[in-house]
Amino acid sequence: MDFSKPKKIFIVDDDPMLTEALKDYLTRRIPHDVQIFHTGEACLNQLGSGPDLVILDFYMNTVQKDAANGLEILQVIKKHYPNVRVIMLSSQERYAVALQTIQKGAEQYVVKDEHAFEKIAQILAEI
Amino acid sequence: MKSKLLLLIFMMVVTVAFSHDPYQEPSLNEVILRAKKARGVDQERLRALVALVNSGHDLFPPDSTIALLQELLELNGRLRSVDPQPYRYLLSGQELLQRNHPDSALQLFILAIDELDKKQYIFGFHSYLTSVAALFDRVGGLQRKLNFYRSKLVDYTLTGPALNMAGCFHGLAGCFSMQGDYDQAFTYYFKALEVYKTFSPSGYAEELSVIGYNYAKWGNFRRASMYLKLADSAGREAPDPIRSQFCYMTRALISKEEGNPADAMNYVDSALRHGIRSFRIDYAAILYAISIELRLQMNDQPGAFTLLLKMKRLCDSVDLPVEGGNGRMEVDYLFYKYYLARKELKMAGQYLLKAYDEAVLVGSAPLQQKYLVELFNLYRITGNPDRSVYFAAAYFHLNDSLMKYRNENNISRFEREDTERRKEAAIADLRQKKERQRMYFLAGGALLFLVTLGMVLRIWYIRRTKKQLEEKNKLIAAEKELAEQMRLKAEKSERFKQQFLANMSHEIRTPMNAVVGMTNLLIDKNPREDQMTYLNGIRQSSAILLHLINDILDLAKIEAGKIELETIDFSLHDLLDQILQTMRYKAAEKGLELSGNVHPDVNGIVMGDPVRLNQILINLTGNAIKFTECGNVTISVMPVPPGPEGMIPVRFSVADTGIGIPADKLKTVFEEFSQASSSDTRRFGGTGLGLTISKNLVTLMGGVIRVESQSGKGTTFSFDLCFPPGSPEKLQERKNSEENIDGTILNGLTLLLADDQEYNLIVAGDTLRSKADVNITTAMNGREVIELVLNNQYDAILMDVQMPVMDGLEATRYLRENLPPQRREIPIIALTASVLKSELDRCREAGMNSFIPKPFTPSQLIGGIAEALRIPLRYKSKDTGPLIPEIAPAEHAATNLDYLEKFCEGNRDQMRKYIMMFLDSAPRLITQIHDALAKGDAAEIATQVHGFKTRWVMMGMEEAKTLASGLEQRCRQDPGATEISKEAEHLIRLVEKAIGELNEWRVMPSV
Repeated sequence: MDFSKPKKIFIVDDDPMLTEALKDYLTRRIPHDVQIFHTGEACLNQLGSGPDLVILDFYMNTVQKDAANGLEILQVIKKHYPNVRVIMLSSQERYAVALQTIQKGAEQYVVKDEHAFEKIAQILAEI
Repeated sequence: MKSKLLLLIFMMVVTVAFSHDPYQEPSLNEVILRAKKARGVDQERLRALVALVNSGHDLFPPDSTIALLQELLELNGRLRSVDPQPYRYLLSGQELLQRNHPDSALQLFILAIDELDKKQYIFGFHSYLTSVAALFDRVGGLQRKLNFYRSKLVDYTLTGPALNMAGCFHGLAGCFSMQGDYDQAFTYYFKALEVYKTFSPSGYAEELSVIGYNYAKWGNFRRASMYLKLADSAGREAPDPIRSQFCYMTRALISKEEGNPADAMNYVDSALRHGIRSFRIDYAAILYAISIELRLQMNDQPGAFTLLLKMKRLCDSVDLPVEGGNGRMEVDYLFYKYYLARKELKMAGQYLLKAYDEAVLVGSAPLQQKYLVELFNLYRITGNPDRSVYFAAAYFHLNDSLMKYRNENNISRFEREDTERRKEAAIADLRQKKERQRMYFLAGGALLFLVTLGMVLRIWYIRRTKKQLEEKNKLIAAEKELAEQMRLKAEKSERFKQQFLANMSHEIRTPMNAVVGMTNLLIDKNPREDQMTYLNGIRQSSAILLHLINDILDLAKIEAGKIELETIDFSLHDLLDQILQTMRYKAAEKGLELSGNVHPDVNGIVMGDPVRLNQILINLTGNAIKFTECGNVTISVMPVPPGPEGMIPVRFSVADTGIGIPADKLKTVFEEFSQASSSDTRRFGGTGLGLTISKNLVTLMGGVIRVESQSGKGTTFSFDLCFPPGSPEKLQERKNSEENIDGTILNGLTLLLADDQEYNLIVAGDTLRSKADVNITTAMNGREVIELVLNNQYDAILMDVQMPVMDGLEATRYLRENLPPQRREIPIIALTASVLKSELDRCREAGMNSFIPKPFTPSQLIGGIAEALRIPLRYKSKDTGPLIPEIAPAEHAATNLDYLEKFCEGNRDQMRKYIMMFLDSAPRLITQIHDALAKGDAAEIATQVHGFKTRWVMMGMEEAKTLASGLEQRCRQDPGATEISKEAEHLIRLVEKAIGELNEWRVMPSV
């Protein structure tokens, strides 16, 4: 639970502004090793390098029209790398969706609002 | 004779009374009778023993009675030479129970029950069945318990004593009660009650009290009290201290739940007066729990704590069933409540989690549910919404699996009932089979005949309908062909029309453009006074000519359905003033008084098409003036009863004191070229198209135009429209942009102008050169453009669309494909006389960035170029025309970089990075929304807008963010909504504004 230790983080989201902003936010004080992916597949290919945390967007569909959506990626991650912790990010606030992601193994479900980055940083500190 | 009859009857009664039904439990009296017959038996002792066993539904009889029981067993053995082994099992089981080995005791009890069942001798036995239920709870294994009672029930239903069935019902009911499935629980409790009613008064009273307790648990206190009273009255003949204690306990629970703590405490005390039996420690625990909760309710925390410690000691010493769970679990839960009352939330949470974990371990669903709800609430209070959601999720998950479980049990119950029913049905079937066979034989023959007849008829009918269908199909095919041909014809004619309109537009407007433009240039060059007069004349005439041309084209467009109304902010007051100003001279000429007013209740600023509205009103006013010799013409704008939500309904009316329109001509007044009489045409002139166009425009705007008139008195034309409210800021902005742009923002640019008409080149070139310091090269066709662009650097290309040799579209396409990558995105602006949507689409598809319509004003030209190059506009300070009566509020900026500055902690380079990301992607957004709008593809708009979410936030674009989310939702839910294009345009405007503001930030010197 050493929150000052740099961690290996993957950010998977098709919105480049968000990924940039999140990366800058997280690495502001601590030099985490942050990698950005815009599709689920790209992230999956690199999972072997053993990230501590994967921040995964729930709804990714704009970079490639048939990029698998967040829920599928989550399931794949949990199947092959069950120790990797995943936070789901989404602009949706529907309860059923949140429940689904937690049932499928997500650590937390964070809604994309003004406090989202803080929440993520908090969870990161606790890992 | 009489006495013989009586004796016969008496003997029959006696026989019946004493006939031994092997399936009925031997009654106390019977046993006593037999024992009496046996030699050497102590009658008193025997009676005592039997009474004891009969009354005993407790598994924990005091030590003294074990000895008595042993005696009885030996006695029974002697009486009936029955294998005493089962009874020995029973005895050993009870001893083990005393020594706190419930699991082994249970196994022995089950063994004993099975043995006794095999031998079909069950004496006072059903009570063991109900008591074994409590044991099952203690050792856990709800499924085991369920299975045991179910299987026993099947046996007893077919070949068992009724009371044993009752015992099984009671056990099953307990299973369901524990899981909170009160539906099923009560079904079985009442079944047991039925049996006890007939066979055992003490059992009946006890079952009543148990039902009362379950109602209390469930929450129906009225019923609970009712059943407790029934239990009391039923049990009066067989007093039982344990049942009394149970009833007091239930009453305490009811009083507590109903909010009578004083009563509850009284009942607890009454219950305790019966002593805490060593064999009913579970009652003690329940009573403790009730007392603790009462004390917490009364805020007596120290009292509660003392009791908590006592209860904990009790539950720790032995595994206890408390509400079908582990006693320790309830203790933890009560500790949670205690710490909650003291607001020590951390301790409370720890205990609650402990209780929950244990509930999960034990597998008690109702308790898990209870704790999950508390956990959900606790985390909500302590501001931990994520954990709160987690527990809520677990709760729903549990609910689902409970539903599944209940359904499964229901299903198996239905299956069982179904099998039984089928058995009975089979038996009844056999009896009737013979009887039926004969009937079937006869019926079969008749049926066969009918069936054949039916088939024959059917075939005949099918053939007939087939023929009819064929004929119908032929007709339909013929009609289809005809319709197809007509469609093709219509399409052809439509295409021709479009082409014609496009060509006409271009052919006429191009020379007009030249005239207007050159006239403006001349006026700018400070002409002499006489020259100025001529120039004004030319300007006015060309204005009128343009007006006429526009009229004709407008009508043609309307007929072809090609008019698109604008939606911009404008002021009704301004509009009226403009009209008055325009028509003042004409009215003054004839000595007429022209006046107009906007009713104060009308909201002055609305969104709509002011140009066309102007057109309508000018037309109506002109007519009014034309047809009035003396008197006045009044234009009014009035409010009308409210229309749809948020819209402003307005009535426009133009009233005159003219010659009026005769009644018979009123109907045709709106038709083309109709005037009241041909003599009028000669008197008054006019094209005769004005009213038709006005009517069409009003209809297009969603209104209805009316006319009222009296010959000789006057005429009033009026129409009602509904506008959405407008924004004063935007109006101001628009006003600023008209004819006010400071051309020097284009200084230093190198531009390429392409047009096949020399004079157009002159007009555009000179206009630019007069307003800005720019380098201009010209070309006359597409090929020249390409050659020039390949060999020279330009900042932007202005290209006419229609040129010989190679037109603007082709040239654009070529350039977009063949220029080196870094120059490929050079802005290409279309100069087009045709502003038809189809034309503009073609331009966009070819790769042109924007367009400037011909004829253009200098401001439009400069503005268009600046926009294409993303140069922020600057206005010359000048009178901005009629001002809005209210004070215009400060202009709102589209962006607010406070957030970004905070996020980047003042680091301008980081800010620049994000701003550039926005600026790079914003134009594409605009184009894609435009395209999507043109295609009517709402889904695409939603997708595009959605992807921009973060950007709004980063650039502090609050209004855009709200608008975008509303627009996205609308596009997804109501893709055909007419508001979509308006909102999308609004959003685009905001983005454009943002682009401007951000570009300004870029060039600002760092502070």
